[in-house]
Amino acid sequence: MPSLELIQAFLAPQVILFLLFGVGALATALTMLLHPNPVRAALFLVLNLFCVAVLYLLLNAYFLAAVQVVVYAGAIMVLFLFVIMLLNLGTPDRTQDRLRMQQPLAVVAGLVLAGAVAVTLVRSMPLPKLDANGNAPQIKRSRPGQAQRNGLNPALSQLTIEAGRASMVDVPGQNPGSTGGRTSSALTDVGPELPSAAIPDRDTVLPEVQGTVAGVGKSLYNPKLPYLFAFEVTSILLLIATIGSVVLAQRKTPAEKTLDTEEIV
Amino acid sequence: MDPQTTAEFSASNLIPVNGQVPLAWYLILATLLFTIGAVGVLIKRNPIVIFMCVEMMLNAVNLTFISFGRYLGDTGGQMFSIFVMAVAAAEVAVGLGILLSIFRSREDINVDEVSLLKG
Repeated sequence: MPSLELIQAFLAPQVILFLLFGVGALATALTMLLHPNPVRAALFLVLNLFCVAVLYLLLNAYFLAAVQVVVYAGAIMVLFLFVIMLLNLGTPDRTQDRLRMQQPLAVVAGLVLAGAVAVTLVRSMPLPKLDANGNAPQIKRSRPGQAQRNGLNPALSQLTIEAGRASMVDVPGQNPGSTGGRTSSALTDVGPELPSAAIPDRDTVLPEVQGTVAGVGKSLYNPKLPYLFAFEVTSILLLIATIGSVVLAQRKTPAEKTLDTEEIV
Repeated sequence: MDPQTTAEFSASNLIPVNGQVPLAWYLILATLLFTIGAVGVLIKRNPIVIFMCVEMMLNAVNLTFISFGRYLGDTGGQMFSIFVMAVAAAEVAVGLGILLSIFRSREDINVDEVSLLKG
């Protein structure tokens, strides 16, 4: 009975959770789009961000799910609500649109966009699948012509192993240690005196470690991976944004105002 | 589309296997969220709501990054999402500062009315 198997395939807990929160994300996004009141729209966006955070959890991105809730739903949305109330924009917009055809045209453009992405999606089949244990397939090994990616892989695999077991690089006793039991075999397989040759197979990479704080940190701050420089540049970007928003929102003193008018005249 | 591609576009890409959600579901969901955000940017007249729609588009792209990273066993997806979140935070701070200064010079911030850059 294939239909029974189909029903059983849809009854897996991950699938049920995805359906629940995926539909929730879509519903809140549509409500946000159609709601005329900006404050309600902001609150629906918060709900949408929560639903997507649950999807991050399903994808084993634990740290990013927490960041999504704390930074997005917490800080950024509070900033939005603050500005809405400060500028008294909470009333629905009743002004007439200048371009009457803009709304139907926008919907048509959105459908075209979704169609283009769907065509791309269909043409990129088959997509990678996870096995029953939730491990990613060994796609990068089996496909030729990805030498550059494979050059990156050893460091990646090694750092994932490092994140999962008692690492030799780290200070002893500061490791997460949560997965010490299942990685003891990896320790015996890989000699500690040959860290550069300790390139494990893809199936020894622990996917559930990648999304934890330890895994994210070890990827982000690893000098063998290209993310460290971008991280430092991001700090400069945040500094510039802080200074820029302060300068933009600054109230001008009367002396500056007269200066401005003199320049204009 | 050649027959092999048609054969590869089978239902196995869209039906849960091994109790795992197919990658295509995440991509479809992200597509729909991105489209909703893009339509919102086009039809809304309140700049704050436009900002919120942009946030939703960025969030949809984050979902794509993370799901590809998960299904390819690569941490790069999560790294990119972190950078996207940082840039989004910076963008919101600067954008709301710009809105404040616009609102100070004119009491109306309907995006149709704010056309000083047009000259």
